[in-house]
Amino acid sequence: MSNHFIQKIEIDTFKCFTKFKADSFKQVNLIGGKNNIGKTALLEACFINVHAQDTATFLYAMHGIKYMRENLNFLGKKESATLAFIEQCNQLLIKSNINTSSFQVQEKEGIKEYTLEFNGKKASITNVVSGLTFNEIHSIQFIDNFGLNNNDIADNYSYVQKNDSESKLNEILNNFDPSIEFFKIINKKPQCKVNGKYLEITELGDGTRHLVSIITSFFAAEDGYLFIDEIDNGIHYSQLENIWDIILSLSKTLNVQVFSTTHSKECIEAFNRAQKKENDIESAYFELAKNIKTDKIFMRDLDIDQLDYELTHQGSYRGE
Amino acid sequence: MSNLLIVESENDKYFFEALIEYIKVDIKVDPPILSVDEYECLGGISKLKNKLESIKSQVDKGHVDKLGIIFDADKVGIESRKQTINEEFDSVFGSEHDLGIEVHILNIDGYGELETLLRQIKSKPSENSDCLDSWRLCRSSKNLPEISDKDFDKLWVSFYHRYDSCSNQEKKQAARKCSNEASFKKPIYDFSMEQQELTELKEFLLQFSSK
Repeated sequence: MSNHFIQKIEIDTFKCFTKFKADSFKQVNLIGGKNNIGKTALLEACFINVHAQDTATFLYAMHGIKYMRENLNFLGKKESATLAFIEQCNQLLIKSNINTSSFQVQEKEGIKEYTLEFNGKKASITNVVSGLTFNEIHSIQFIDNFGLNNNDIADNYSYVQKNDSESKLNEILNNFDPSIEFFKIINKKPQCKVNGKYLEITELGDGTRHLVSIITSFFAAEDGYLFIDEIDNGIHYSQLENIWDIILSLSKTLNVQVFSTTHSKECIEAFNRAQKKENDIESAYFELAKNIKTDKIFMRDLDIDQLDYELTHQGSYRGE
Repeated sequence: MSNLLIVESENDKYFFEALIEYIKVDIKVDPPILSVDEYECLGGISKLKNKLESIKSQVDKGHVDKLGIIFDADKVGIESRKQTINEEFDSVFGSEHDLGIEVHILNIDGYGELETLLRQIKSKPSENSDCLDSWRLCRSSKNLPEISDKDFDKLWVSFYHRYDSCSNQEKKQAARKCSNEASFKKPIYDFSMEQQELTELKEFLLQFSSK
């Protein structure tokens, strides 16, 4: 595994997690579990941890996850709202083999001081400053369950172009839906040529948008990380194994660590079938669950063999 | 409290469901309540570690308090089988756990499997299945590979269910009415028999459910 990959993480405080530990992460990771168990929150914790390289990237990560949850575009929002959202990450403390990131808010005489720690450094800002800077690290991509918006797809498509991989994207889309001939950005809008006519991607099904989001994000995330929430969203079950084949292949070619979530048994089965075919990429399925007596959230990893066993022997591997 | 019983196969599961149902009915005075909540079909001892890994997640979720394991002695015998189970259990659960575990090894005179016991407690005539002895001798006379006792007993039970315990009417829907699942629901085994290994098994189940 590459040195930049997250192998283990400790979440002391973040959303539903307290004193939570997970290790054995691989290059491609699929996380399953019940609703509200914290699958997306775990992705967000990993995202913040690796994205918190300085004050601006730390703020972007904390801020971005709030907006992704609400499917908003945070550019142009008022600074007071920005700080209010960031404050919701108060008491955050996340450690991994890559970074230790923490965030605290303290109030003295009406002035709030925000203390951030990252990469062994410490920084403070207050709510009386203006002109907060947010910086995105393009090699750390997060796709929420809605997929990317048009602007983000257009941005990420530029990395496909830089990689001279437009034909690869077209091939994947054509395989997904033979009626799709080409993908292009026309007038800053993602469009697909379907049966000889260009259609905006919003006119196509959610699955196509989700797939385009995933593939373009891979190229943007070269040598970095890709977080995909509800990876099977909008995608027909018969396509899932093919998509996992593509993900395992691209993660290897582009040196990307992937974290993804699902509720779907069919998606997990397809992942397991794809795992068995790909010997060069380390991958694992993780079950996120809660102890009903202690209310404590824990995670267990299932290797290829164990996942295969539980899929075929009525195991309970989705938090049930 | 939730008790989980691991058995080796679907057939074993059907048998234990029938036996536990019988024990429930038979207990008249201040009975311990059998609460084997769930069965887990293992599909052979080679998958025991996978099954225990799966069970461990149920324990970590707080769904299981006590685990029962019922396995065949086979050719290796009771002690060897128990040792294998304990080793696999320790490798998955380690030394620090709160899980209660009880192990019982099915046997006749220290060896054999469930089918060996079933042959002893059958309650109906078994003309068809008993003819298999002649078939076995015939194979031997023709120098065909020997059938192991284990395989022979399984075949015997299968014939007993299909040909000795299934009416002509039922045979018209044999897949549904002459299957092992359906057969264990019929009164074709004597669970009240004074038979040492059966008695030990019933005592184990009562003890397992009552602790």
